[in-house]
Amino acid sequence: MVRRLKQRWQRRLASAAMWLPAVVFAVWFNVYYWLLEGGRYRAYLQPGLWPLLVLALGILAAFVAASLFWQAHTATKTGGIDAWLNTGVWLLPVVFLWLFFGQGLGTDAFTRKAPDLQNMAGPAFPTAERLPRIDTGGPSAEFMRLLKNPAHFDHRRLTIEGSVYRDPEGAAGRFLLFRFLVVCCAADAMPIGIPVFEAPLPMPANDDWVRVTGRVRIAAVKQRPTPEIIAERVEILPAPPPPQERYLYYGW
Amino acid sequence: VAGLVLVFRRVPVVQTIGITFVAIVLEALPFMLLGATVGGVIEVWVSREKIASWLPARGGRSVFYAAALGMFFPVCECAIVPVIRRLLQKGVPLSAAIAFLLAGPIVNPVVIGSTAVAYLFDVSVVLQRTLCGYAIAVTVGSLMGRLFGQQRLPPLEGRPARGQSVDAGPPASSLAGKFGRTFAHAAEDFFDIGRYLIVGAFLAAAIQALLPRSVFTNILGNPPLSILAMMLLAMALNLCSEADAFVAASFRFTPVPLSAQLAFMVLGPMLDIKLLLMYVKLFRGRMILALSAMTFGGVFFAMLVMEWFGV
Repeated sequence: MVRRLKQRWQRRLASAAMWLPAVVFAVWFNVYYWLLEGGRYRAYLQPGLWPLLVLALGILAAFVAASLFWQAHTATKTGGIDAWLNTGVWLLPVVFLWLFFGQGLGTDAFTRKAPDLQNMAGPAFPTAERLPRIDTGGPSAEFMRLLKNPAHFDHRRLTIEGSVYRDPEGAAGRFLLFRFLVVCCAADAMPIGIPVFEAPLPMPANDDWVRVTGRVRIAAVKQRPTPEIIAERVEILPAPPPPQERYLYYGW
Repeated sequence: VAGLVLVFRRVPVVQTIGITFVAIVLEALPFMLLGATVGGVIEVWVSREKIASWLPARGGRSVFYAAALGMFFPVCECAIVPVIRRLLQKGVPLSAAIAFLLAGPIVNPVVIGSTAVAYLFDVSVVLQRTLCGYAIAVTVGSLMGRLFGQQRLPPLEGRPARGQSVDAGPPASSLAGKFGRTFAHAAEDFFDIGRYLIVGAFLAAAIQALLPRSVFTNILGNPPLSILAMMLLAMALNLCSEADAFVAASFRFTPVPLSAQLAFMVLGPMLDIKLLLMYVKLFRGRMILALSAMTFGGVFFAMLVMEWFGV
């Protein structure tokens, strides 16, 4: 009796497993569609990659159709167990997407990704001259313009926004204002930062999103002009809710 | 894993792992979808005879052509695995397939362009990366061909038995049937290989989040150690070959020597954690071991020579 039930259950699992590839492809089709809708994908990917996502949608649609009408042999080969495990692995990133969407890289990622925490604005980022084109105005644009052409801002007053990183052993009134520069995806995001000096009290904490108003001075670090800001005002603001507004993107 | 992540999702390092993991998978999957589709096209539309007619009559020369194929067929490392899988099944020599596998993600116009932009159009860096990638791919491909050319490769899983019908749809000879089979084969490959990409992406994200890059920057003044450290970093980060030059360039004005930056850019597209896992679907254990050792050793040796000669 038990054996017969077990056999019947195994048969059912195996027969259901036949359709698992189609289910996985359909789920991923929906994931890419949802990400494309309203530009949500920019939380993880460079905006210029949208054609790639459209291509993925097209191929996934074809895969769903092919899996339904031509059936996937993979699923039936090992009695379905392998296909069920495979499906679990396939759905893991979807679970992660659901859990982490809306969160952005912060100070933790900054300290781990920075090749040299003492030297973030100039020499460590030689590509600054080719930093992103900025389509929108405001403090984001100012951040990039300052890194692109520090000499232009020397002794000028400006307002920029970013996250805060405070060196635990750093001097009082000093912190790094940083952003992540995304080339292809958040995995290759590079931290770029501008040292801020003489910040008034109360000092912002790590991961705070701040708007800094101050005067720029240029320091020479390893024979390269490196911008620094002498702060006049530091406002702590709520971080922009979609993480893509906290990132900067390399201009393709 | 999902349960643990749910509990600890507010912990900063878990957040970094989660965001990095999702980003790697979302970026890599479209390339892999494309690669799997090309693999399906090769399976259904290109016969063994046709492939044999494209290859040079003298087997040894095919490895030189294959290593340059990326110039006309630009693929990244995620897309290339399903393509190679089908090419091998169609009788392409192992040496040529490996040369294409290793060089394809480096010797291609997209990667050449991104390297040029990252290094501010420093032609010498672009040339060194491209030529090193080509030379190592040809060398490793030829050696692998000599050592393992006669060995059988793992079979494609899930293939129907001989004589059994592949399709449940229109007849295989019709155009619709051929298109259907193309996508059925591609979907099969994608479903089969994709899990290795996902597991590899998760490991890569964990290593990225747990291993500070400054650790590598701190290995200074010792070029062999720097080269070795940057090679290990390339394997750990699993970056796309189109993006890795930007990360390598971020070490440009640190004491990490150019040879070490080149080691990062040459080894990364050839050998990293996700690729190692995906190679399981292409080769047997000993072959993977030999391929990894030769590639790693080849890159290390080439960069040491460059460092010594001050290239």
